[in-house]
Amino acid sequence: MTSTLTAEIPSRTSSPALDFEALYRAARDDVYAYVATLLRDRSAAEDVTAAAFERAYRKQRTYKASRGSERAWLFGIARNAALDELRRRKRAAALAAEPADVDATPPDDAAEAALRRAAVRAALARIEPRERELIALKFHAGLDNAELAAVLGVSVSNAGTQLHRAMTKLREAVEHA
Amino acid sequence: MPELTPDVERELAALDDALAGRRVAADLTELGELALALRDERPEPSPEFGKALDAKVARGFGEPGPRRRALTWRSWRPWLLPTLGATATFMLVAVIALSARDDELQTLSGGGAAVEESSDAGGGRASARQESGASPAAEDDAATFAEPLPSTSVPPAPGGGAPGSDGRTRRSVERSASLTLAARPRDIDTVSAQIQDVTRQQRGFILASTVNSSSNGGGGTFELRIPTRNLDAAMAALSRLGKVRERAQRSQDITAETVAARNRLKDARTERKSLLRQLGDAVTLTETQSIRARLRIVSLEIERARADVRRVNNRAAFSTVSVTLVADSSAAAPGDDDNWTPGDAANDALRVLEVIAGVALIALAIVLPIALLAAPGWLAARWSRRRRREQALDAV
Repeated sequence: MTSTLTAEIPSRTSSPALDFEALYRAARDDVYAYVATLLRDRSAAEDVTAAAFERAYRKQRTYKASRGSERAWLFGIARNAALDELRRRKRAAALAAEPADVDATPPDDAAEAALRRAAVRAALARIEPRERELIALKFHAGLDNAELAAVLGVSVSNAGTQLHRAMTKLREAVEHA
Repeated sequence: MPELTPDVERELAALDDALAGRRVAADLTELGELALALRDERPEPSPEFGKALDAKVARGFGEPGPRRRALTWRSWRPWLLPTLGATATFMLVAVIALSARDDELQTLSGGGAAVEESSDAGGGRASARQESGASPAAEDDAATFAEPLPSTSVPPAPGGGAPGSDGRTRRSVERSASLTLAARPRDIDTVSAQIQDVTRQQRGFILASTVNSSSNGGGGTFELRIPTRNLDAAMAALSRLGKVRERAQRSQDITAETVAARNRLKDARTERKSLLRQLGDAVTLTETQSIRARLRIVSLEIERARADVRRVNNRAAFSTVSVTLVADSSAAAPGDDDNWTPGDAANDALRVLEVIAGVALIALAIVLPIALLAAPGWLAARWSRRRRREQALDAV
């Protein structure tokens, strides 16, 4: 016996508008992860993430599929919100970065793995914000290189080069950690 | 940007493979492990924050939703057609109104018929055609507004110097006009009656008229006396009664005649006053009789001078309009000289397009420089904002 599962596929022509709900569900944690890594402040990351989604909600009609994917568009908004937050911090005499959340490491992890994680975390804190942003977009937000390029406003090859450079710096930082 | 080197491409591919759970080349194992370690370091939002944000999204952030947002293509597209329709209608009405105004102006200036205007200076060359007897009441009325010059423009007197060269700043001008109208044979009587109506409406009177009407033709002539101040309005109204075949206007400066007549009257009155004083002082009968005889002569001169003054005033105050009405079966009905034909429709359409193109050109002439000035400013502001944001990454 065979059964067929059918689902209604929305027509692109009849409903070209962005499905904000779906985008939100798919990207909420990714946006938060990116912003938190960039800002290194969980409380500020929550505020910025909420602000980014609110901006995206209000600007959803301006989304054009021809300019890139929905995720790239959303992360562009989140990036602007995060950079605005960084500028505000600069004006407010640079808040001290939140200390690394050491307690987040599960106590039953193997010691070697724990050490490795601590080294990665320390290296992440040490590298330049631009490089940390690239790593956050790639490994925490889960963007592919094309989306990464769209968010940064550069070519795909340029994004790849920048990512490779950031990884090289990170590897060096891990070795020295 | 140069293309990626093979090594860089290989390492980037290894990162993607590691994240996707695929095998990574042995020499890049460490890189793959680093990628996985980085992914494991991904911060996760707290459940409280997740719930709070979910609730905000479900509420639409508690603010007016995107449907009440600023105008975008989708939001104003439904209004586009009605707006364009209303704009086109407005422009059409404006064009028709402008066309009607143009037609009226054209009619006033002769409507394409031959227009002739001449002016003579120097009262000594007065036209003799105005000696005809107007109605006494009208002639007397004329004296009351004959003094000021008509406000209509009088061409400079040829050969007589400037208008004030004879010391007169207020000039008397005699004006006359002739008009040849064509009307359908069956409309001759109607147009004749309308000419009389126009004359009455303009507070003028008919000096002489002849009307012949028949089924095959007919016509008429009218000699009208119209107050000079109403001459233009009368000519415009008369021109609308039929197809204008010919139209001519003439003006003549009669200031010198007017001044001479007034001076004669003044002199005669002065002499009579003098004679009356002499009569009072006369002693002998001979003296008295002689003065009385002279007074009779002077009184006659005063009467003649008064009549002269009235006559020249009347010439300035009233204009003679000669209307010739001819039958023409191709002429339009009175008051209906604008039969709308397909040709007229095509002309109107062309005119509408011309006006639209003109409006568009003017709008472009206004908008384009503004846009050219604003665009660099907008681009600079955008670039500056982007740069400031990017600098935030350097400042951390």
